[in-house]
Amino acid sequence: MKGKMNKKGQEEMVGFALIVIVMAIVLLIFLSFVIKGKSKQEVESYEASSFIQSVLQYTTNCSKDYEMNYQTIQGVLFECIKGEACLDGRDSCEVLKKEIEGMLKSSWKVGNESPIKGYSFRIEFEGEEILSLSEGNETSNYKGSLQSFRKAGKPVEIRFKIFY
Amino acid sequence: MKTRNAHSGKKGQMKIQQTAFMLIALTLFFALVGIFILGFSLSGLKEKANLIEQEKAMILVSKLANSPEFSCAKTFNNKVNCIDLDKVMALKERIEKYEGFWEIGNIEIIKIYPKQEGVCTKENYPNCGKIILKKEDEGIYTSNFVVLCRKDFFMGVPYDKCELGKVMISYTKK
Repeated sequence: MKGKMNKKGQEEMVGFALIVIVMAIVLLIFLSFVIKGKSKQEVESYEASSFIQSVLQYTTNCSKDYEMNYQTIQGVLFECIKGEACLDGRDSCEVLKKEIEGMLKSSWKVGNESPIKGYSFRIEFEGEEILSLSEGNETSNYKGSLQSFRKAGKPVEIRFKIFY
Repeated sequence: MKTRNAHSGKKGQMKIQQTAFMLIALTLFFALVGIFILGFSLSGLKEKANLIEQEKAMILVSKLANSPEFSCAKTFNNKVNCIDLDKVMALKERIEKYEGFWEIGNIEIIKIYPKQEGVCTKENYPNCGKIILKKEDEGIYTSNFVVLCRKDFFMGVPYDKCELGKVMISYTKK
C-alpha cells in the first residue's frame, strides 16, 4: 500500500516536472522572439557621407590668384598640401582648420544629453596627417564615412566618424 | 465496503478536479502566451510600416538635392548634393503647383554654417537662415546635409557662394 502511494507520488512529480519543462520551453521561445525583434537596428552612414561631400564644396573666403577666386574647402585643402597661402597672406592650413571646425561644431552637438557622444574628423595625404579634429568621447557605436580622391596621383583620404 | 467506495469516489473526484484545474491553468497560460505573441507581431507590423515610411523619407531626402527642382546643375558646375537656393526661392513662389508631387508633409532648408536667423522671404533673401518650402502638418523629421549655392556679388561682379545646410522633410507616423 505504501509502495503504491510512493509510486503515485513519483508519477505526479514527473508530471509536474514535465509541465514546468514545457512552460520553460514556451517562455524561452517567446523570449528569443522578443529579443530577436529588438536587436534589429540599422546603422545609417548617409548623413556622415553627405556631410563630407557638402563640406568639401563649401566656399571659403580664401582666394587664389585674384580677389574673387574664392576657393572651396577642397581647393583650400590642395593649397594646404602644396604649402601655399591665401591671397591675403593667411595660412591655407589654418583657414582649412578654422572652417571645418566651425562646420563640425554647428552641425554635430556633442554632449551627455545629446545622442551624439563624440566625433572625429581626419584628413590624410599619402598616409600623412593633414588635419585631425575631434570632440567628446569615442564609443563602440559609430556611423562613419570615408571619402578618398587623388591629388597629383597621390591619395587624399577623409575619414569621419560620429560616435553614439 | 460502502465507506471505502465513498472514500475512493471522493478521491477520484479530487483527482478529476485537479486535472480540470491543471487543464484550465495550462489553457490560460497558452492563451496568454498566444495573446502576447499576437500583440507583439502586430506591433511589429506597425513598426515595419513606420520603418518603411522612414526609409522612404530617407531616400527622398538624399535624392531631393539632385532632383531638377533643387539641383545646382550647370549653374554651379554640376555639383552633387547641392541645392540651388536662387532656384528654390523661385520654386517657393509657385509651390502650390507642386501639390501632391512629393507626397510628404514638410520641406525645409536650413543654413547650418555660417549660422543665420530668420525665415527667408523675397525681401530678406539671402540674409536669412531658413526656407520653408512646404508646411502642412507636424510629423517626424529626417534630414540630410547639402551644400546651398547661390550667386553672390563682389563689386557688382557675380561669383558662386556655397554654404553648408540641411534639407529636412517630415513624414507622418502610422
